[in-house]
Amino acid sequence: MFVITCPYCGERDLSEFAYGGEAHIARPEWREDMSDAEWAEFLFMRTNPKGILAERWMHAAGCRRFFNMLRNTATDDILAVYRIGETPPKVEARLPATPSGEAPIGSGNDAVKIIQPGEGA
Amino acid sequence: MADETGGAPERRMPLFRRQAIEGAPGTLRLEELAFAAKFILRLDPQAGGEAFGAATGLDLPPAPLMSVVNGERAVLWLGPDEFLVLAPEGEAAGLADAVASGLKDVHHQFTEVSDYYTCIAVEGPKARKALMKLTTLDLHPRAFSVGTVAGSNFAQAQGWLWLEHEAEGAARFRLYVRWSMAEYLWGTLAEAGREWGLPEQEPVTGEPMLTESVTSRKA
Amino acid sequence: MGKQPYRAPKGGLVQRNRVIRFTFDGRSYPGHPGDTLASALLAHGHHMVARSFKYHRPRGILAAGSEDPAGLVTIGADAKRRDPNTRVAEQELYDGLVASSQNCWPSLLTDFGAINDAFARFMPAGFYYKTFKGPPGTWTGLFEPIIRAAAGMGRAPEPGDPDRYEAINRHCDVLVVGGGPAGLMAALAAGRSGARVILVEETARLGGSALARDPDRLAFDGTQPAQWVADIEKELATMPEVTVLPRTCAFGYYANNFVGLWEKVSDHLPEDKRLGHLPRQRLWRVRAREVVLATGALERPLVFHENDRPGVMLAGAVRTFLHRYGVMAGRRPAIFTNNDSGWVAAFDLARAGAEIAAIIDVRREMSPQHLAEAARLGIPIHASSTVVATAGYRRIRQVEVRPLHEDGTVGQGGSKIACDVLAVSGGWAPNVALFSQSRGKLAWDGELAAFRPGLSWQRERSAGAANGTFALADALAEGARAGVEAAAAAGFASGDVTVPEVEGAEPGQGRIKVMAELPSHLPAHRRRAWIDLQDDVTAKDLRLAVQEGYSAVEHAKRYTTTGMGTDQGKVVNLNAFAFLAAERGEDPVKVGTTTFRQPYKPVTFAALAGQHMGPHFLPRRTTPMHAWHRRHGAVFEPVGEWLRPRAYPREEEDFFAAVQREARTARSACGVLDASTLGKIDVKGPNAREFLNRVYTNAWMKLAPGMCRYGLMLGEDGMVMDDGVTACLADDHFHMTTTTGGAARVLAKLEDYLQTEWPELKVYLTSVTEQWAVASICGPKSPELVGEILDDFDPDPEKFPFMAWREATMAGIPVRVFRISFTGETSYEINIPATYGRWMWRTILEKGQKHGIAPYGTEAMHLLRAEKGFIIVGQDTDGTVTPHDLRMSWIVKKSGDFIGKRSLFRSDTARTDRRQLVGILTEDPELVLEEGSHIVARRNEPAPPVPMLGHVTSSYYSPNVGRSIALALVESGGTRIGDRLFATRGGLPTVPVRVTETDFLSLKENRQLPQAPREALNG
Ligand SMILES: [Zn+2]
Repeated sequence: MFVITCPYCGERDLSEFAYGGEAHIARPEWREDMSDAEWAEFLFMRTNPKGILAERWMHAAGCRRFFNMLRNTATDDILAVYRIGETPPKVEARLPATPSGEAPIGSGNDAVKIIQPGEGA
Repeated sequence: MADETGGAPERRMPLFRRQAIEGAPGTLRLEELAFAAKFILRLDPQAGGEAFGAATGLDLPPAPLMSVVNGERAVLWLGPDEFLVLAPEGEAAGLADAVASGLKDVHHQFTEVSDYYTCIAVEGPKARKALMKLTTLDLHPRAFSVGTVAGSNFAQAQGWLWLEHEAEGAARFRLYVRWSMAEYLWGTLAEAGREWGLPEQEPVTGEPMLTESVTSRKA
Repeated sequence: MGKQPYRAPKGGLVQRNRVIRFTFDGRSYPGHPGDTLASALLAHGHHMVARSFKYHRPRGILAAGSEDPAGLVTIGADAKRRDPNTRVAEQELYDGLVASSQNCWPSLLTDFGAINDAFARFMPAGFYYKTFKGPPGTWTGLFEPIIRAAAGMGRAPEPGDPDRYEAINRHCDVLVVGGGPAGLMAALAAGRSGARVILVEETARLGGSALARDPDRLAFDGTQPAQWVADIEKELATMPEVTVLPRTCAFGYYANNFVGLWEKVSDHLPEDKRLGHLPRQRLWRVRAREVVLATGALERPLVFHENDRPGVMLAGAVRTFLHRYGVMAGRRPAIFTNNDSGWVAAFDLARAGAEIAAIIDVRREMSPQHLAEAARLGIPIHASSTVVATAGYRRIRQVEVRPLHEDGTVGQGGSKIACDVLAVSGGWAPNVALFSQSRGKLAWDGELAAFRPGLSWQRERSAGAANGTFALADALAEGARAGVEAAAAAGFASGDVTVPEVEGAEPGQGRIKVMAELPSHLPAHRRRAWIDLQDDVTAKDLRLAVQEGYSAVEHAKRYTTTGMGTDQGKVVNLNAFAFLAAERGEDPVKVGTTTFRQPYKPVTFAALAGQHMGPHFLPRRTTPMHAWHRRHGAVFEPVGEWLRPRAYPREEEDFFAAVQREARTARSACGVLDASTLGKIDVKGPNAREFLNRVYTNAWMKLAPGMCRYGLMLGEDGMVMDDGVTACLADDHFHMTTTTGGAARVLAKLEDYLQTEWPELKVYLTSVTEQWAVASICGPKSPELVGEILDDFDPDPEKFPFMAWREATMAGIPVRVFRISFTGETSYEINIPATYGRWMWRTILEKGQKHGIAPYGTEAMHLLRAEKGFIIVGQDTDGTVTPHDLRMSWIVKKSGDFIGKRSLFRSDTARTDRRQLVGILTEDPELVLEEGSHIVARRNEPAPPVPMLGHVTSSYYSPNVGRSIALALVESGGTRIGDRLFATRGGLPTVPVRVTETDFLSLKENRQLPQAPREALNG
């Protein structure tokens, strides 16, 4: 059960929030000539990274505001929250060395549960 | 079906069958606070806070999670442009008129919800602990001081909690909940208070249910 | 049985002056308050308490706490309250406690299941995987029933648990897990800072390892251990922000310092003494700023042939039973150790009056101090030796000892030594379960031959033995420091904490000599050296797993079941990993460990459910008219969280008949529906119209105040998401309705667009769903009735036309009346402030009586709308249906954007052969199809896969059309009107149907209902 910091209400339990999918995907202005591929890009395609993802959340049980969050999906670490319309802040995160790898620490995967010889502390 | 008549107009709050209940002395008390005027105000405080104050005598809370009380009227922060306005029952119409004229040039919405929500007063030295059996909010005095308002889940029902008053360790919370959730929350709060001697409350339950599809007469 | 032959003459923290009685397997025994069931049984020399899972081997008490793997019994005589798989080492004794053995039949001593042991060689590692593979054959008929009957441990309680349980939330600054010396210092230090502290101790009393020491040989600042603990406890009790929770296990460490605690509030009390106002158990959901893990260390057993006899106990447990509970595990104990801690156990026992049969140490070099002390006490020493066999059934009675050669083989000769308990020590390992659950990284400590906390991931620190700091003085200092640092990290400067001076500190375990499996003179296939005592996994099983390629820890675990079961291998896992490392010839750090999962030990479902049971399980949302519905015989159905009347059967009327009557009355006289649950949203602002234009598929610019319009709302994918009627209150003010189930979803979606996509639109939304109680009155008599109940109101449908709304009053109470209809009949929907809902409903029913009014439920409502061909979102749509699929293209505007518009032109959504909503009429008018029935083209279905044309979404018997009716989504349905297709009936022969338009009332009126062909009527 995560703690999420609502930009308005402060730290609250995950159970008060609703997930809103990937952030910063603007709804395109309606154009007659928009191709199916362009529309599909907006409608279906998501980055789904193992790493830093900007995503939308709504404080459903509280202030009912939508806001954005940067989350490290490799560790579930919440790196930043910011309001709609604001630019995402620069953050650092412990990321997997390869796209399918594990973060050096904080992963729920068993692969990183022991410090291996020669591994820097 | 003729066993009862409509009669004269009669108002009923959702918990009208429930009497106030109390635990051991100096612990916990529950009561429905019936029939108050309640409005939801949607307004950009920058744009209309002053006009609203002039119309109602109520300043908007200066920061999130805060409340402002003036006599028997109060404003509770629900969101950056959303507030719960409380007043005595008889002032509802006057308040609505005052806001309509005071804010006629400002984009706003002032919606009466007197009947949508009811208020359960949870008071006593054990009120914080009783409520923490239902909510993940931190209700410790260091984290939730007098005047604080927070929207959260209480058991499985959404509501707004307001710490209206506290004296000598006895907190007086008001929990604003939907009409349809009131009975559930009353029962859950009473159950939470069993530790301090709140009486067990007979649940409203046992309705005959039928969920399967029926497309013909019974065989 | 009045005597307790193994009760030590003095010592222990039990109340010796009070005798309480308990029964085990029907026999009554005395014990003392302060005992556990284990210590009370041991006081009677009773070691065998259980049978193992697989081979039904006798099992005794290995450990003195929750880590004990196999000493499991069932507590409680009441079948509704009984608690299976309770560790005897944890269960506190109370007067009248009833315990019984499990996993044996007919009794613990005579257990027919023990025959499994004789067949052990036929049940090797991976037995299940090797047996239950391939197509179902012999194993389904032969093995499976036998194994299912034999499997399982203990019996679950029967339904109807009379006890209460509770789950509560708590926030704190510092959570200290473990009430031993380090944890006490941490709690004290953090507590003195003023921080909010929760101290959790798994057992009934604080003190931990300090209570497992001879009180005459250990002092803190000159105070005996129990007194020192009591003093700290007293100081903690004076701190208002400190909560001390004994009998509480921190069982799970989750994200963001969320820790689950399981408090056994009254399991230690006689059932008749349990306090009614308190729960039996409590779940604490704690959110801590900082956590201090002071969970101590666990001692490992040794792996040797026949090491599973009752009476083989951990040396540390023997000390705990002696000093904490005043019980001698044996009068003639033998000690078998690979480190120094076995020796101090021997000395303790000797001083308490036991005759030490031998100290057997696998090491060649031992502490000269200990050798001298052993000599002084006259204890025979077998250095560089090992136990190669044991004897005894209910309890060990002899060990065979042989010399251990440098090359790892055993010598000849040796001796058989009589003993009544064998205290073993394989060295201590930090208890890192919670640390690992927190996603911290473990470090391998070669000296301890164990893992200890390495890198933290969450805001947590370990202290004391849990951190590998075994020396008592160091553990105290580390605990104090952890408390200070944790409080500081949470924002509280700590006061001074002086670490007490320790007298009588022990030197620790010294050099430990790890041997994965102790050698034996026996050939490997005859050796039975237990690694997991609960799951009956031997070294041989693990060796086989490695040979068969399952050498990774997680594979070996699953192949052999080592470390599974209720104990999750707390004390045995390290031996298993060491064994795998040795077999693979690899460093233990390479072999690693299995995952430490939550929960640390089994937690009852009742505690997890807490108070959210029965009437408190879920909100049951009801309308202001609910009591009336109940009193008038309604049967209800759940609609989301709402309870809605489905029909009001009268006496001698079944549900079907009631629905038919209600639907007939609504069209022939007058019906009334409680429509209060419909979602309602107040929409206001200068851009409200533009907003509606964008969220609905149709146009809203011209809707005049006083008028209403039906709208269809799509997702951005073009699929129908919700529908409802919106009324124009004023130019910039609208009253929107949504479906009952869609109310919250629609409001969230609209807020989403306003807040994130169209911040430029000046529109505010406020839910008013329950501000209004709603009665929907319909039928030919409805205008007359509405005219009577409203004040000075002209309901004339000509002057107050369809899709208009008016403000009115009812006995002076302001109401809104909408001329909207979901039935096709003349309808009036009266909205009144909810507190008047009950009164309004009663008034309508009373005044409607002379018009023949009948209340109707949701079933008749569904039927009435289907007669008219109106859709229900979520029943006739399923998230894959566009407005065109519903053949409602009329509601899709040509110009201007709206949510989902572009998607309607995607190549897939623009296909002409999509499934479309049509009417379906069975040729047999009395036959009602099942909803979900498939529509196919041919009477005789070809072999699967059968090409489906679609499926039935709604199906009823309609009293007003006079036959069965159905709606269906059918491929190119719009072009198939009049076609003959077939509907499946779940295994029965298909039936012929006609495709029609959806408005069955109009079809009837226009005499367009298809006539049944003769063949259908004839059957
Ligand atoms: Zn918020």
